[in-house]
Amino acid sequence: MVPVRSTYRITLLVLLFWCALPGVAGSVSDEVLSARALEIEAAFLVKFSSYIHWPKQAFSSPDAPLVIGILGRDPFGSVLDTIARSYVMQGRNVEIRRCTDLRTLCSSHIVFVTVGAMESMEAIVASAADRPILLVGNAPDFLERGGMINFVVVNNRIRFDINVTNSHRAGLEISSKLLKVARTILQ
Amino acid sequence: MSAFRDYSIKTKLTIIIIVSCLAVSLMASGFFLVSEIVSMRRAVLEDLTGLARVIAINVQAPLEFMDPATATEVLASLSARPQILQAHVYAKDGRIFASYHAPQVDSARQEALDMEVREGRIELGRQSYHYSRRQISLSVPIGSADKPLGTIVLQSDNSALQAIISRLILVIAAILLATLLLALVLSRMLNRFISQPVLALADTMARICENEDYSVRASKSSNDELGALVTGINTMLDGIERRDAQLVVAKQAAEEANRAKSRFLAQMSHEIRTPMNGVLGIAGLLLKTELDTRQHQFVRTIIHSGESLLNLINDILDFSKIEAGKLELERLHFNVRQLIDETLDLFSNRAEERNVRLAGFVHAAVPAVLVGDPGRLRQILMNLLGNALKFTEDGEVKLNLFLVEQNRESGCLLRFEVQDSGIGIPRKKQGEIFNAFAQVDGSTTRKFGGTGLGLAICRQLVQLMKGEIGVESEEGEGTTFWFTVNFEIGSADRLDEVIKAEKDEETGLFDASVLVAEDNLTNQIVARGILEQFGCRVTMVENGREAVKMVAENHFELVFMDCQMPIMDGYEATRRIRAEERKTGRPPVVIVALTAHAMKGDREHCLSVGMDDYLSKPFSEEQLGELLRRWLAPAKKEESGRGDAPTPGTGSDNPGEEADFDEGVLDNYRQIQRPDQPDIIRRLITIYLKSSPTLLAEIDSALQASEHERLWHAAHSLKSSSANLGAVKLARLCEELELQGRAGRLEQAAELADSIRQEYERTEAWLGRKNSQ
Repeated sequence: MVPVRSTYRITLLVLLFWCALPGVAGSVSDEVLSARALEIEAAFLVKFSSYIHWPKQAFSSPDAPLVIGILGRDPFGSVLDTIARSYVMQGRNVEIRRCTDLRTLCSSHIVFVTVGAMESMEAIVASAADRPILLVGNAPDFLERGGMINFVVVNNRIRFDINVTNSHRAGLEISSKLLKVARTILQ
Repeated sequence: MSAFRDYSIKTKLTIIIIVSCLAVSLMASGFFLVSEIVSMRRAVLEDLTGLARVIAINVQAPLEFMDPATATEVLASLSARPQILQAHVYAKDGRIFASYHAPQVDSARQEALDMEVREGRIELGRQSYHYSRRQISLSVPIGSADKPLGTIVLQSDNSALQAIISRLILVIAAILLATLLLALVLSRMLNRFISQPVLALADTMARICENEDYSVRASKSSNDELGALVTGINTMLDGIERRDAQLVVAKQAAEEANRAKSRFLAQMSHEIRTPMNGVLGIAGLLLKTELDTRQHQFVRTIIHSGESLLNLINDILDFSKIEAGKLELERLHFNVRQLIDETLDLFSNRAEERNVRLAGFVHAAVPAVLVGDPGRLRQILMNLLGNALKFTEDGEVKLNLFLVEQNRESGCLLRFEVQDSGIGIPRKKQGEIFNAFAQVDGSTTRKFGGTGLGLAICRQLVQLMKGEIGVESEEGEGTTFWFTVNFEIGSADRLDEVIKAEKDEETGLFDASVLVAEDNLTNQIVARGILEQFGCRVTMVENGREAVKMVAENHFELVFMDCQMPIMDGYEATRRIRAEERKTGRPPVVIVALTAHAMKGDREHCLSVGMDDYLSKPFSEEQLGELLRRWLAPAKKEESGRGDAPTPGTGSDNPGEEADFDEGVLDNYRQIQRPDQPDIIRRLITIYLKSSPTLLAEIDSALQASEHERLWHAAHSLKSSSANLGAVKLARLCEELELQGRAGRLEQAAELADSIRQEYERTEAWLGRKNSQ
């Protein structure tokens, strides 16, 4: 019996291993990929600043930092801070602010709207209306709902779409270079 | 370089111009080419860099946002620039982010670019380039210095640039070629200014040198250095022409002076020879008259001195003739033994006076008859013998003749030696004595006399005969002069003729009517005397006109015509006689010129006016006799007898036959005997036996008449002919009689004559035996 029992156990273990293996691997891979995707998105988010032209009054002084606000639960963590610390945008430092409140939105130059914050998207757009604030998100209907740059995953790569109409309305000029890199441009 | 030195000025100038033109244009075009290539490269590089920068800016966003597709799209825009072969966008980490390849680029080329990057020839992250013949590769960083994003690497096809450079080189080559052509044309044009005048000048000089025409002048075309050269040369030519003119004048003057000298020499010899002729002729005639011993001796001294003087004049004339190359050698058959014999005879008196033993030795192998110039050979021997005697006292003088070699083609080489036991010649002087006017020292001339020309003439004569002459001497021990001469060997026939001629000479008398046209009284007497001796009937006239008249009215076998006479000279007279003969159809009379001119050309002149022969004054009996023999037939033998008076003689000492007869002499003749000819020896013996009785009779008759001259002549003849046959003792006896006759001492002559007669009988018997052998 014992052998039978033990054989059963071994077989079971092997089966379990084989079944679990891809599952474990897949979950780890997804986990890694999403981490990598987040890191890329964070880098993109910072780098966008170089391709956007803000009106003069958007900054209080020539060396005033560029402020990137995260609306909703911050998915990036310290990665974004690390990137921002080493980044200089036209002589300006980059400051990351995590805000839960729409009021603080007004002092930011770029606002990343997390998926969780999409519920109040209309309010966000309204409060940012007529202000030079670049709204970046990663929700499927983000652009239709007033967003300007929206991350998408294409073939496992992070790409982005741009809504030029919205950015125009906000008084922002998006560099044609960035437009060239964008996957889709909505007008 | 030395080859260049020999080129013509024209070529040199052309080369110089072309080389300098080429050097300058090569340098200029080289500099131009290099700077052009450098600037073109720079332009290409700048263009490429600019392009790369634009692309760098354009791919910055795709790179930042990791969009290789867009980057590739950007790169694809490079297809508008076909010279761009490849482009890569490298990410910061060195991976290729995007690429572009022109359609014609193959994988090898792609690999090559990767290699360039890997090997660091093109550096990533900074600007760099690599230039090669086929392509230019360069890298330009993307992003700013503080925010580097990656690197763009471009590769451009260089073949276009290379083609431009090639075309440029071609163009430069064409320009060089054009320069060369231009230089050639220019140099040709410039040559006209430099080389043309030089060539013309050289041409003129060549013409002047070739034609020796110094009246030509070079033409001047410019006032530069070449013009100065032309002027200089023309001035020089002026000088040459002027000097030439002076030289012509001087030469004419010199030639005139030389002609005057020749005339003077001829005149002098004429002037001296004519009176000498008279002196010697009259003295000769005087000797034949009744004289006592003292008078006889005086006359002989006169003759001797006169002959010396004549010899002197002849020496000087000979020397000048040989010097002038005007002496020609005769080619006669002669008996060398007889010649030596006769030559020695001439010196026998002097030898006796100086108590010198005179001896001759002829080697048995020496051929009897030779062909050459016996007169000149005799002259050499006489000079050497005369010298030997002059410097020897109480000793001996020997004349030796050896055969050095003999062969059929070139005849025989003879060596003559004149050996004396005299004072000798110092060794250091021996080299000089053959030079003219050189004697051992000046005092010799005073002590021994002589012109100093004798040995010089000897040497010249020997050289003319293609022989050598030399001397061996020890001071105080005596001297040996030697010389070698090559003779042809005479034929037996001619020997016969020689002997016959000698016989005729011994016995010859002529029954002929002879006209002598001569204005000089002395010469008249001499000529008449000698001619009558030869049995001729002589008619004398004093000038040419009388001679013409006489020839027209009478018959003469022979006319002697003096060339220089008053009223009408001999030349004119001869012309008229010849003209008359042609008119009347009479046979031409033989005319012989008598002239004291010893100059060359006289003979030709005489013959040209129609004369037949020529006799130079003063002439000897023998010369005249020879001439008569040449032109007149000898009279009959019977008429030549001159009396017959046999005299009994005393007995001679009784030497053996061996010593009395030299068999070798006859054997010599046997050597030249040719099988197809009559026996020479037999003929010789016959002639001898026929002629000798006449001579013996002559001796007797002369003895009775006490005629020394006739006596010694007859004795001489008998001596010669006896010696010719080897009758040594008879010859010796005859010689003794001859010597006594010459000396005029006839005390023992009768006894000697007796001995001769006896010895002749023995000889006759001996020859008879020989003949029958």
